Formats: sequence, C-alpha cells, structure tokens
Amino acid sequence: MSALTSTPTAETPPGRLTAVRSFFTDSIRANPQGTTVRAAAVVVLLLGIIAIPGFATLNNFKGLLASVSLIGIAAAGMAIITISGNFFMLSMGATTAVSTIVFATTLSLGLLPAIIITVAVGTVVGLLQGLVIGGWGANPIIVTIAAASIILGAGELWSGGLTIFGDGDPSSLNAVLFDILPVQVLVFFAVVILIHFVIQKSPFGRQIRLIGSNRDTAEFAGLPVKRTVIIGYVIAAACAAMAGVLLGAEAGQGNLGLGAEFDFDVISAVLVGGVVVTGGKGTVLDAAVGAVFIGMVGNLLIVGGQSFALQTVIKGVIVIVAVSAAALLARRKGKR
Amino acid sequence: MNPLVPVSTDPGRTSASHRFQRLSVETGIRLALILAIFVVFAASAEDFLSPGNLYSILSQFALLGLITAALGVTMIAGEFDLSVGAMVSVSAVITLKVSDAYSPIVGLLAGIATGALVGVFNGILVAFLRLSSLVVTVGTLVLLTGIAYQIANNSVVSYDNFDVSSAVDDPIAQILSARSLITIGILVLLGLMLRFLRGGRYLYAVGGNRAAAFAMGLPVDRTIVLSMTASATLAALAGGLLAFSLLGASPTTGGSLLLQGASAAMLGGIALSGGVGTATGMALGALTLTALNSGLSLQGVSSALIALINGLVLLIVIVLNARNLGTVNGLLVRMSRPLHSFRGRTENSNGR
Repeated sequence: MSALTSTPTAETPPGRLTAVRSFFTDSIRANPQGTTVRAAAVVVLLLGIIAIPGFATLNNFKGLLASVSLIGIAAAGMAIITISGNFFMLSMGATTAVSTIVFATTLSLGLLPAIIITVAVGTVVGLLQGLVIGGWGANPIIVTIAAASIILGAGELWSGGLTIFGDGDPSSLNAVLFDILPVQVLVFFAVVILIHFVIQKSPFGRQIRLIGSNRDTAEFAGLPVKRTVIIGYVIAAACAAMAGVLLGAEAGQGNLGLGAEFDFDVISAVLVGGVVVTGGKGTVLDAAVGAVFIGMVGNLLIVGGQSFALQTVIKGVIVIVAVSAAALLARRKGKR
Repeated sequence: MNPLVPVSTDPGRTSASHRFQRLSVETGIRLALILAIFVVFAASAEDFLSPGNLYSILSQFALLGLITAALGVTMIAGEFDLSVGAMVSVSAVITLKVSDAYSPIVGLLAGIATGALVGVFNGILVAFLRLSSLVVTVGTLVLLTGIAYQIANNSVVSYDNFDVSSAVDDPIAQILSARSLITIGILVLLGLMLRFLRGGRYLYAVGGNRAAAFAMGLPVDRTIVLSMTASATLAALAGGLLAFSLLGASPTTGGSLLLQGASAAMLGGIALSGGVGTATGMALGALTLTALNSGLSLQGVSSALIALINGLVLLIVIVLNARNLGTVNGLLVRMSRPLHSFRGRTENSNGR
C-alpha cells in the first residue's frame, strides 16, 4: 500500500527530491486529485486500523487486495481508453463475463493454454471494437454499449445460458505465495506496473496521451492515431479478459453473471483515481489507487457490518464528490 | 460545383428548408423501415398482426418510448444520461413502497419527484461545474443502484393492488392501454415543445453549437439543467408505470434499458453530437425496435440471440452515422466528395 501511495506522479518537475515540502506541493499541483486520493487512502487506512476491529488483520488485508485485484486489472485497461480520450469502455464487464466461460471451457487443455486462449479471445474482441472506434471513427460509448450486448448474447448462445464447470485445475491461480501474497494480487501489481510504464515511458504511451489531450495536434503531427487507439482497445480488452481468467479460476466456473456489475466499478475506480475523462490527464497508477481506495472503503463498511446497499451508495457518493471536487479545483486553477 | 456540397455535414448548421426536406425524407425512410418489419413478420408469423400481439408491442413501446425520449432530450442537448436504467429501478421501487404506505397516486408522484430531483442534481453538476454528463451520470448510476438496493432491502418489492395494474394495462380499443396512451401523449407533447416552445429551440441551439448559443446570450446552463431534469423525470415516470404494470420492482428492473433506449434513439435519427433529432424520430425508433424484437420472439428466436441482434442493429446504425452515411443528405454529400475530406464523429463529440 505505502509503495503505491508514495510513488511520485510522472513528470513532476526536477528538483522535487531536494526538499520534502516541494515534493508535496509539486505533486499536488501536478496531480491534485491523484494526490488527494492517495492522502485519503492513507487516512481511511489509519482510520480503519484504529477504529474498526477486525480490519487490520493479515487475512483481511489479503482478502481486500484480492477483491480489489480484478477491478484494478480492468481499471488499468480502462485507464488507457480514458487517457486516450475515448471516455469509457462499457463492454469491459461483458468481456470479463464471457472470459470466465472461455476460460472454463478451455481449461481441459491445461492452465497455460486456457489463459492464453482466453486473453487471445479478449484481444480479438478488443481489436474489433478498436477498428470500429479508432479506425472508422464511431462513437466509443455507443459502440461499446452495442459490443457489450453482442458479447453477452454470443456468450449466452455459446454456453446455452448455463454455468460451465472447468475440467481442469486452476487452483494455482488461487494460491497464496509465501502465505502472504495471493497470485491475483501479484498479477494485479504486475499488470499495473507494466502498463503504467508503457503509458508513461514508451513512444506508444506518449502517443496515447497526446491523442487524449489533443487529437487534432496528434493527427497534424503525423502520429498513427488510428493504430494507437486500436492498440489501446486491444490492451484494454486483454486486461478485461485477464480479470475474467482470475475470476473464473476463483469461482471455479464460467458464468455470465460473473462480472455483470463490473463496468461501473471499474469506471468509478478510474474516475476517483484522478484520470480525467476529457483525456490526456492521469496515469494508470492513479486508476489502480482509485480501485484500492474504493475497495478499502467498501471493505471497511463490510467489516463494520454494513450492507452491500450502503456500500454501493457510498461508492456513488465518492465518485460524485471526487469528480466535483476535481472540477472545482480545475476551475479555480483556470481562473487564477 | 455539385449543388449538394454547400450543405454542411454538420446538421446543426443546415438551413431551415434543407433541414425540413431532409427530415421529412428521413422520416419517410424510417416509416418505410417499420413498414418493412411489419410486412416481413406479418408474412412469416400469422400472429404478428393479431390484436393481442399489437397490444404487447405497444406495451413494450410504452416503456421504451419513454426511455428513448429521456435519452433523446439529453442527446439533442449534446449530453448523455447513463443513469436512465438505474433511475427506472429506483423510481419503480419507490413508487411501490410509497403506494403500499399511502396510495398509488402518491406513490407515482413520489417516484416522479425523485426523478426530477435526481435530474436537477445531474444538471447542476453538468452545467455549473462543467463536468461531462458521462462522468456525472456514472456517479449517479452507482448511487441510484445503491439507493434502490437500500430501499428494496436487497430483494424484490411486490405490491398486490390489482386495480392499479388493470388501470394501467387494461386494453383500450383492443391494442392500446393507459400506459401506451400516456407514452404517446408524452411524445406528442415533447414534439410540440421541441418544435414550438422557445425552450425547445434552445435545446437544439445548445446541442448544435454550444459556444454560439452562449455567444448569442441563450441560457445555456438552464437549458442543460432542464434537459437532464426532463431525462431523469421521464425515466422515473417509466419506472413508476412499469412497477404498476408488473406489480413488482427490483433494483435490477431497469437493467438492459440503456442499450435499448440508445438503440431506439439512434435508429430514430437523434445525433450523438447534439442538435439533431425529433420526437417523431424517437417514437419511430422505439416502435421499430419493439416491433423487431416482438417479431423475432414470435419466430422463436432466443432472448440471447435477440440481445445479440439488438447490439448488431445499434452497431450498424452507429457505424453508418459515424461518417454521416446514416442520413440521406450525408450519403449524397459523402458520395460527391473524396473520402479523406471527412472526419469521424469522435472528433466532434470530444470537446465540450
């Protein structure tokens, strides 16, 4: 947790390491919402440790991180879409749900082939959407709403609406390494760190960010806008498929009901983390922190004995407060 | 020069006469599409034109028509309301709970009032904080879902007042019902307001070119708040009436309505970029989709395949619309110009 919260956001001006104070002011200035959410996460963490008995146990932390992992992996993919200025991918939950079925169906071939096939199917699904959105220029929201319906419909035809039990052993995906690190969490960290560095440091990532902040400029500068957006969708769908693999392994079955409410949890994580919907601003790490923050609040409520309903209400309030506060901050900044 | 070229592909900027011509041609095409659906299904399934089936089509239209109108008014204003489905659920749950405690009228009014309140809230955030309506309505979607679960106590709310369900659902003239008449009435009213009221015209101006509308001194913020309020209120009305019809409501009642409403609005020619669309289009779009789905299910097509087909329909419409191939003029202009001089829809819809 502390590793996540203290990592500086990219592109803070040099010299920030000279003084702790300038580090904080710089990071607040560079990324006010991201920094605020990190601070809020730490506050909630401390509050939970002090006030809620049963929160600060190793088992609960393991459970918390494992439950956040799937949302976090998908949020890393969603962040690419949002950063590239294409708002949200509303087919992510559908991709995850169908991936659980693909995974369970192919599990008889062995664990590794099943993972590879599931992620490959995900990339094809993402590629098709990317072609329509990036290549042809259709509206990303509507295309992904339509895609969600097509994917779920196809998944239901394929599975006959039934739950599919995998004929194989996915248990190594549910293992806990050294009694402390669940494999899911390991995958979550790996995916987030990998994609974060790709987006922040690689030419592809810079293109994604430039397309998001100013698409016209990116086009005039001769960047391969279409290709970049398409690749973004491929990666995002692959993330959703990976979440589906882990979800299917955890549930021991493939079922279209798994991952149904996924989309809006993932979008909430991205928005709360400080990825701005107009594109270009925010990082993949921000989205992951958003996922951890929302997951932590939800976990606190559950451990504190509150209902799923209240948890959802609070989640909605957090999203609204976070985006409103960010808008107010941006406005003040603009007026100055 | 080709006489078609001066017509801008941005429909918000076409002149009034051009717009009228284009819209009437497009309305004709939409009517022809519905007619084609009716002819095909009537020829292949003899029950399709039976009063019973027409009644069931219109009952589904009663729900979808209101949702399409809700999405339509926000799309014309250049916004998008993702929370309509959740609003339907919340309103359905509240309507039944309050009906049980007081009376059905109070219940329905409570549901609608909740909708208006949520709409004003959405609108204020969008208009005054300059937030994207997508972002705000994702937040309200999650919030409303939570509220629906909270009020329904994680289960199904039922209400055993059969007078209410027969009041809204009893057939009138064999194929109509109070529910479908209300929807038709609302769509007519909406059409008149959009065409003749000043506020209705502002909606097009704000959606078509917001900067120009602002420069002309139009009340941009107020118009946005009004459109978001209308959207949530219409969704709430749909939820309340649906709850009366089913005599039950659950937090997932409004589940798949966003897809269908968006499909119907796009089929009805409401442009995502804002500034374009009519109530006639919304009604025809909703009717096309309900007729298609009813015909398919009469053919014994599974619900999964119908969902897949609905998605494909929406995808085809959006793919055509993305490069302006979905409108008659767009198609003609498009054919008279080289391909690369046009840009996709995404660029238009990106900025606010």
